[in-house]
Amino acid sequence: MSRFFKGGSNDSDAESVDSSEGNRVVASKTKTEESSSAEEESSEEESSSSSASESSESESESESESESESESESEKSKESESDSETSDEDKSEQSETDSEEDSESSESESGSEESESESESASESESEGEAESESESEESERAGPSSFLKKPEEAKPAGSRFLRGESSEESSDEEEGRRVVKSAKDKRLDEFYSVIDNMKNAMSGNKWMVVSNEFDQLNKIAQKSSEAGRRPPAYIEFLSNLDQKVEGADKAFIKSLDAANGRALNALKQRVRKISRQFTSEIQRFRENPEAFMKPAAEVAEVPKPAAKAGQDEVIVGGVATRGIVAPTTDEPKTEEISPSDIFKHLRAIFEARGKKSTDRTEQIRFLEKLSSIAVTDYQRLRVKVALLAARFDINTGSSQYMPFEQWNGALKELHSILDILDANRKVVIVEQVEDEFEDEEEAVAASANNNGVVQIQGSVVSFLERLDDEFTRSLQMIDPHAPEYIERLKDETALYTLLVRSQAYLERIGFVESTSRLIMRRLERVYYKPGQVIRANEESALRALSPDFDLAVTPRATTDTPDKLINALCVYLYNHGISLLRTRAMLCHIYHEALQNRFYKARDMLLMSHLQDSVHAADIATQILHNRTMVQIGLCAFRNGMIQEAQYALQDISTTGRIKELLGQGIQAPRFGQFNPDQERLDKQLVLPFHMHINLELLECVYLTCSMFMEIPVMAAASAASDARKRVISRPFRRMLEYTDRQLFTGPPENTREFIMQASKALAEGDWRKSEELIHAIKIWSLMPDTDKIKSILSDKIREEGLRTYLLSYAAFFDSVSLDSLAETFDLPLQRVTVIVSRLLSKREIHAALDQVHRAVIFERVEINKLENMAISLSEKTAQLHEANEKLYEQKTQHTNPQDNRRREKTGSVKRRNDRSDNRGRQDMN
Amino acid sequence: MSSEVKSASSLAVKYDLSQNIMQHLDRHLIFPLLEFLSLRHTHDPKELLQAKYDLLKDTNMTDYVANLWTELHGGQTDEALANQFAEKRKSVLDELSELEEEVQGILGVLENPDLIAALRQDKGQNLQHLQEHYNITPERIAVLYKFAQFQYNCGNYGGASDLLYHFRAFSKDPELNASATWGKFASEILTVDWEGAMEELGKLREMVDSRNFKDAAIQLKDRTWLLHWSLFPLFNHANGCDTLCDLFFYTPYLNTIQTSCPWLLRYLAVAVVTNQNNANQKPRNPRQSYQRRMRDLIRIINQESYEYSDPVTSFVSALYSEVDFEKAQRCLRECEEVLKTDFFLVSLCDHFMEAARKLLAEAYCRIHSVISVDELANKLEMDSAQLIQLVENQNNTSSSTAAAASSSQANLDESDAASSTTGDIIPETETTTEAEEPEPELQFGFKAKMDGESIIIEHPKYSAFQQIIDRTKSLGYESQNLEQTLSRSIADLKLPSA
Repeated sequence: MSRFFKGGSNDSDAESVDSSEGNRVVASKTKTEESSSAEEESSEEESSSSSASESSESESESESESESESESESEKSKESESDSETSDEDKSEQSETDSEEDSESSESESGSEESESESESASESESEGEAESESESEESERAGPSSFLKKPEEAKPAGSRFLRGESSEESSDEEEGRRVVKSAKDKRLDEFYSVIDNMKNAMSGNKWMVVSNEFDQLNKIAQKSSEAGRRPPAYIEFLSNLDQKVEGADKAFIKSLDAANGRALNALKQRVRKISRQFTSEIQRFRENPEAFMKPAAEVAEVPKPAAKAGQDEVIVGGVATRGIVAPTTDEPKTEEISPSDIFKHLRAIFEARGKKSTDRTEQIRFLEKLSSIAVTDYQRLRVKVALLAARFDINTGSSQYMPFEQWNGALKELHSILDILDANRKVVIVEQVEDEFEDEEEAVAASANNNGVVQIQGSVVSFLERLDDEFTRSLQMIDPHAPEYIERLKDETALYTLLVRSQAYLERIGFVESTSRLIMRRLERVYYKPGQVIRANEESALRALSPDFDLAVTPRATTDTPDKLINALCVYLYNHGISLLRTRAMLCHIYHEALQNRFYKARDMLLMSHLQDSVHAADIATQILHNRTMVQIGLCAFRNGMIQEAQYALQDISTTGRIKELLGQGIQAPRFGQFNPDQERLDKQLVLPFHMHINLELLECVYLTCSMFMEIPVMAAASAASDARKRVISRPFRRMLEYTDRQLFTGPPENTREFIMQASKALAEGDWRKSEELIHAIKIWSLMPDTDKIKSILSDKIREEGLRTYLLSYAAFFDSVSLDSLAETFDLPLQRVTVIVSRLLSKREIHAALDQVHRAVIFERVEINKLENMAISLSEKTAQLHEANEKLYEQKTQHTNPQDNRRREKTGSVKRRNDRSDNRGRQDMN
Repeated sequence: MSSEVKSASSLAVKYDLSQNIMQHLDRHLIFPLLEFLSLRHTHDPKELLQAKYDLLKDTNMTDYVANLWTELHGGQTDEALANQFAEKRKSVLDELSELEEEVQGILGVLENPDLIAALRQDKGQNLQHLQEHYNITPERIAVLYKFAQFQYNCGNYGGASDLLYHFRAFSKDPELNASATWGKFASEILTVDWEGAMEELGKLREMVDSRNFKDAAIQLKDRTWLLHWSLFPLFNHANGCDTLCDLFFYTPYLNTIQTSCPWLLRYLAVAVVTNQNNANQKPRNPRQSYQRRMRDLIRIINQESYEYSDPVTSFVSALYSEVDFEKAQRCLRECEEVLKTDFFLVSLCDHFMEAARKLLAEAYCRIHSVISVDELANKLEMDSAQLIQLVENQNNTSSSTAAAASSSQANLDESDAASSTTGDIIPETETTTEAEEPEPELQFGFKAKMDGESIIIEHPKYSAFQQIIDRTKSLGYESQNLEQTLSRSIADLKLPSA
């Protein structure tokens, strides 16, 4: 488990420790009463609690709990000592040792477990622990005082009490619930009746939305009271009335209502139908004899298990309502009773329980898995599988964890099997918007008649895929990239990619352009940053996994056999069909790919033509990160092609900020001024890209500094030689570093890339190109570049040329003439090349000299300046300064008075945005 | 020798732009290009013939097409095809007579002096007038257009041009008017009426620039076409090169060249290089100055070098941005071949070569102080005697002040023996350094004299005066700018309050 992960969930850990301690206090206090009457408990309760303990044992102990247990071991033993004074000593001691052993074993287990399963179980248990401890603390607050009033009948068997109190929160939860009812029974009844009154009022006023809301509340209350073993008969009475009323509402009536109310009524109808089905027998009884039903309310309340009475399958209750009290062993025989026709009923129940705090999600998944094996028809299977997928994705709620691998793999398989079904049976489709949700298959099939006989199922394949993809990315974000686990995880990408490709076929068939473009975006984002060979391998393995005649409309096999064509096809589809955000991202991915393939001009032209740079600052952060990555990649591409200047320009913006990591989405910003905002940090972390997508920052810096060196050193030489040259800074970071190196009293041999470059720069400035070349070549990180040798030879050439230029610029004043031959010899360049370089310097008037073609030499001009001339020069300098001061003054003044003008200047002067080609290329002038 | 010819022709084929240009030309405009190509013998004659046939088979020039066919198939005749041609010919003639009849009436009316006298500025009124007095409806006017198109297809460009003139005078349909203008432009080109073509070019340019295009792509396409078509009149008209520079350097058209047809840079480069005669005169607009144009040209050629390069553009970039004289010289040699096989530039070839050599010499002399005569002659591709001859000729024509300058310099020079006879100012472009242009690198000002086997060039010393001038040169302009912006922003401030 990564360190980061632990840090993220510290809070919930602490919370669960607190709550479990609180629990224990309560438990130990009640124990004095319980233990004395241990034998008196009812048989039914025994079975349920023992099953609870069983289940909690059979489910591996959650880590956080066992930790908290061990942390508070001493405390616990104290308490149990005090217990033993008042109650039966043997028993409590025994139970103590039991629990201690238990906790120890679980500890050792969890300690010895492999990191993977550990993190899984931890993430699972922590999420549970969090949710439950919250709900518990809430309830225990309310029910705290009343727990003392508990009656002896409710006591639990002594053997299980420690377990119950300390670790199996389910049972304690239930126990508390029961306590609440006893104490707050009247309060709850009042609440109950007020809700019913509200509903009646609302119904008479046709405010169905209100009714619907109130009905939810009513059900909640009823649920709570039924857990306590008692349901007010008024509930059944009201249910029966409501059922009649709602069923009485026909289509015409619904149409007469406004849209929102109509919808609410429809939804209500279904829910009422569902609930009343649970209580059919009771409603029946009520309708037969209302008075008799209302009277024996007290007796009815005594029946402890409402589920049994309702004639409901216990498994459902176990999966949905009472949160896994039922042990898996007791489950087995009962599941067989579920008939395929019941599936929809169960599904509905599961949907109902979804998102509730008290729902045991693992149990739900297990149950759904069972259901899916029972399902017979395609429709049933799809419905169950869609529900199962949703349940799997529900498994963790916090943003600080990722989906357990087994669940992820399960979801992957599920999606595959869904696609299997969909491919086999073309009469069923999964769509995001279904006109009406149907109770069972017959209805759905009936409705399909007006839909060309295609049965629709609510769901979204693309959303599931996106979620799966997100979870994959998230897991990669959280796993330590240097651990072997990361590599293992990364191997799953192929499977994910295969699934993406496969679903693309489905979506193309269904013809949902919007979903298809979303999916294609995902596919593109999985490949764009990879080198050609990897894309090819990826593609091949994906297609191998699919049937040979499998083909796609957007990216047909025949025409997209090379990575370039593939990327092109994907991007073109998105340009034509995607929404604007997707288009932007596709464009950036496309450019990134082109840059990666060393096609600098194409990438640059695409970037400039798309005018993305004008608008990208308004885009979301992820897109901005992509844009920055693209810019950096273009810079690196220029460097690989030996275009030093272009590389420097492209990398300039990002390198000067000093927040490279953050801008490239490869790390988070260090908290500034000690301010620490956990929310912000969490959000930032989500934006961090998985490690395998990172651009090597050291390489980036190395490239940037090397380019800066080539550009800065001659300029600096020219500036120092000619007194009048304006100080033009090309790269501030480079200058800063060079100054820092200059200040150092003693410079040892270079150790890191930076030092290598700095020393090379100094050597170059002194004209010692050989030393400079040696130092630059010694940088190890070049080996990360493809074609290292080529790049090194480009660098050598460049060093020689710039060395020559620097040499001439800095030492021009000390020569009368220099022979071209000797220059060629010194700098190991062909004479012709030297001539060209010198000619260029001369023609741009960078040095004042002329060539003597006959003697092959550079003749420098020597100008003697007398005093008057000198004065005149300084006068002209002063005039220029005056002018500059004027301009500055104007800028300062207008900044405050004329914001429009100011804004315009900012826009034009901003180095960040290069609007068009000429601007980009003309930047030298600008600087 | 033969291999040289071969390499030359392969060079010509390699840099042949006909393919590119033809994409953006009208069918009829392509024909002269094909004719030209068949004269140059650089391509397979049969292919060219086939191309001609394919080009014209859909036109109404049936006789010519039939001839082409027989020529293509070596004199064979094909009965069926012959019949087909005959049929087509007949139908064309029928249509011709039909249309002619219809148009004749209208034309009779339109050429009526009474009517011309009654016409006013307003088209709507004119139409009404026609309808009332002569029973000519807009539909009948449209027949003019149709007939003009027909005539054009038949190869009767003059007739088409006249018809379109009349049509445009009365038609109110902007779409048809636009295409009529294009048609008239093509007709003028094909009738070799360059004055008329220039006029139409102006109209078209106005139309393309002013119309609000919904789709920028269409405007781009129109501009591309206009640029290509304009090559015809501009390289043949007397003052064409200057106009061409104006047109091509106009920013929207420059962008068009960069985005859709970088090969036109060749023509632009040739136009700029050959148009340096007026380099000394100060044009009205600083944009039109030779130096400015050259600078822009270099910039664009460098920008587009990855997309398009040919000997002409590489010559310019080698000379000015790379300052590699040997490469420039090499390119210049290739230029000659390329220009000779270019339909538009063939007439300018010698002129260009001369101008380019001059540029090369100027640039070369600018950074050299001593050059051997042989070397320079070699660079300029003439023999030394010729060069000396040239130098002397120029000496004779150069003004007396130059001679005085050279003689005064001769005194300073130690080896003045030869200078009295051969001392000379080679490129005499003695531009004043105080010129408004802020780009000194393209100005030349130096004196040279012969010294036995070498030419000695006197560069103006980079003196303190020069330094001061350089430094303060821009100040006046910049201060003025500052003052203007200041007054503008003051006005802006006042405006909202007022």
